[in-house]
Amino acid sequence: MRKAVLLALFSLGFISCVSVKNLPQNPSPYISKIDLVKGVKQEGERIVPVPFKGKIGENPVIFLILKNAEGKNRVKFRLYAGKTLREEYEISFGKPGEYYSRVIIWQGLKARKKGTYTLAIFLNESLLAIKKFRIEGLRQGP
Amino acid sequence: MVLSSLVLGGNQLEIKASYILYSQDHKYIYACGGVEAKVEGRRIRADYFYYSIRAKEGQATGAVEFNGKKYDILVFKLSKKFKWMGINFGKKIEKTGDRLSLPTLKSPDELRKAAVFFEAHRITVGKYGKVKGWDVQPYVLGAPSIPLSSFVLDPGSPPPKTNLRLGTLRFTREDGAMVGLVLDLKEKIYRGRYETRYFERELFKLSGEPRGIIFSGYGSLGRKGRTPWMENSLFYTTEGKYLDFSLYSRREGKLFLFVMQNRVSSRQSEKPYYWLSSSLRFKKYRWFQPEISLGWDYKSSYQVSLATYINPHPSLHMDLSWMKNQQVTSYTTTSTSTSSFHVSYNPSIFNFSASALLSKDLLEKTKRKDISLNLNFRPLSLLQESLWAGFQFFFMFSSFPYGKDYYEKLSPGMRVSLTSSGYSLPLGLIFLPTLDINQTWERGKTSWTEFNYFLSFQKEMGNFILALEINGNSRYKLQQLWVEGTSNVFINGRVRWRTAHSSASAVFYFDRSMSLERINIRGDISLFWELSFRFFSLYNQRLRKITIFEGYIEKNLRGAIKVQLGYSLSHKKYFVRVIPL
Repeated sequence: MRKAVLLALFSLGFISCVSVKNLPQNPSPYISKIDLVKGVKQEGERIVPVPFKGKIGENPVIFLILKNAEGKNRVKFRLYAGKTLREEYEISFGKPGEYYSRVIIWQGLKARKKGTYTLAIFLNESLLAIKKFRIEGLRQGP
Repeated sequence: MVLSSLVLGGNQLEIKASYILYSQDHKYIYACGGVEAKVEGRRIRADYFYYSIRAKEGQATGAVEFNGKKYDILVFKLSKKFKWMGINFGKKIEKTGDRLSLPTLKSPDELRKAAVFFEAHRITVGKYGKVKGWDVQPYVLGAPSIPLSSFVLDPGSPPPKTNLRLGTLRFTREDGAMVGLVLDLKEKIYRGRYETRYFERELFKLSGEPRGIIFSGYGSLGRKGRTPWMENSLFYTTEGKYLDFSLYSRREGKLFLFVMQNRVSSRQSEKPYYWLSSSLRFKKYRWFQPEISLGWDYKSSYQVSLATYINPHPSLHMDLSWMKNQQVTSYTTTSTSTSSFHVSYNPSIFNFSASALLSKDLLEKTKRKDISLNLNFRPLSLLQESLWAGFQFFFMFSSFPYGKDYYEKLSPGMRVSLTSSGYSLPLGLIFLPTLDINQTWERGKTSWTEFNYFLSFQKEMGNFILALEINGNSRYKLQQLWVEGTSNVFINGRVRWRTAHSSASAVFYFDRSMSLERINIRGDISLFWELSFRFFSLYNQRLRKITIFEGYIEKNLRGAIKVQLGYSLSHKKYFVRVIPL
């Protein structure tokens, strides 16, 4: 097995016979995890999302893990009820020249009424991701 | 991988970016950093780009430029016609273009979990899924391999025209190393697939024929989209010089259906076998279709049959047949005449079938009779579909030569089965009982009664299911004044654990005195890089040791082969298995 792997790697090198000077490097931040949760809690040094039990409830929290970020950044959340903009939130993080392999961001959203919502997430004015969700209705009081 | 492709399509998609990630397992592309894409000639600029080769759909996000306009998101789909939809998130969500749904995107982290993935600066995707990359950095099991200036990342599917390509490529303990060359014929009047495979065993010190060739394939003659004039299948191997070749032709008109088949089979040290058969069915009426068929081995063996299918009602089927058969081999000669009748009636609440067979040995002058009746009621739902009851009645009669006389057996019987979909008990327990009763009478002999029951008590706790199972079976024979019989009860304890991608179970077997006899544990655990760990073990309490254990790590490569690396206690060996799918 080991011989076969070595042979395969050797063959790959033989086929190429060209050195690649300019190897691809990921230059852009990307979302590794995105979720709508009930809240966020701290467990020791870790920040842990608290998931909904069942359907998404009112006023959820958007929880996201951003990877590969560098320098000063601005994250903007635009919340749409149906097709109309309802709320806008903004979070800034980072210092110039610093590299962040993993950034945890969360933001509470004002979404109480029953309906379909769209959340557009921008990083430095460039759209990064969108998240669609549905709120089933107001919580029934006791 | 492709040795030769007679026809190759042009590029459907070309992407240039600071960073492109391609996962072969997912057939998915992710690109970011000044992405410039050309999709069927249309230019798209964006910050991020996602494309699924399987679904032929993609999404560009972040400062998208398309058709001279700017969008936050551009979704596109390559169907017969190029479809697109642009979305802008301003005061309102504004959509332009076709109505498309947003695709499910795969993150770079998800794509990097594949056993093999590539990073590149430029990638092209051909019409038939061929993916080529430039400035490529391959990764194997997460570790970077040797960089390549350009590389075919995926050969894609074969083009829809006649082509010659590499086929089977595998290694197994049975066949050794095997390499095949496939000829895919896709011509106007002939289509088929033929493969020549070479196998080598001696080099790997495996038993059997040291090396050889296997030729196999199938083809059909006739215009595309119409019933072929002739179809053929062929298999030949140098191992034992085995040949099997058959020709098949089927012609269907308004009145008749004609089928002809010719088969030749031969093996080293055996006489070749030939068989020519044909049948003609008169099919003017749907409810009555008589058929005549003939078979001949070009020598003394033959078969003639007359049959008719009678379907007066969609739920009533009957067939009546007569067949004369003569088989002459080097050692024996048989000559039989067989008449049979079969009827089945399937209304909504029961199905009834009856069959009768009379076979005459024309050389020995003996007869064999078989008659059977079967009445099977559809399961009845009781107690709001929580209990299902099934009833079956049967009658069998057979008579066959036994020495100078005939042996006759007449056995009517009935079967009752009760199956439950489960009852809730206190403490979150679920009770699942099943009962089966069989009663058989034999003429002039004793009658038999069988009771089989299975009782299961289950409790679900998160990802775990705990179960206690009682399995009993009793068989009683009614004598003149007493009842004789046997009864057995088996008790098992079962623990099951299950998540979305992994499962494991342990079964504890107890004997009559409730002492533990053995434990059977098996599992299938999903690991990183889409690897899975599977194991099976048996612990014997009397011997106080594990008697059977086999555990291995498995990887499915491109849906073509499975590689297993593990240990077997029975063979006391570590093993590597390559299993073609």
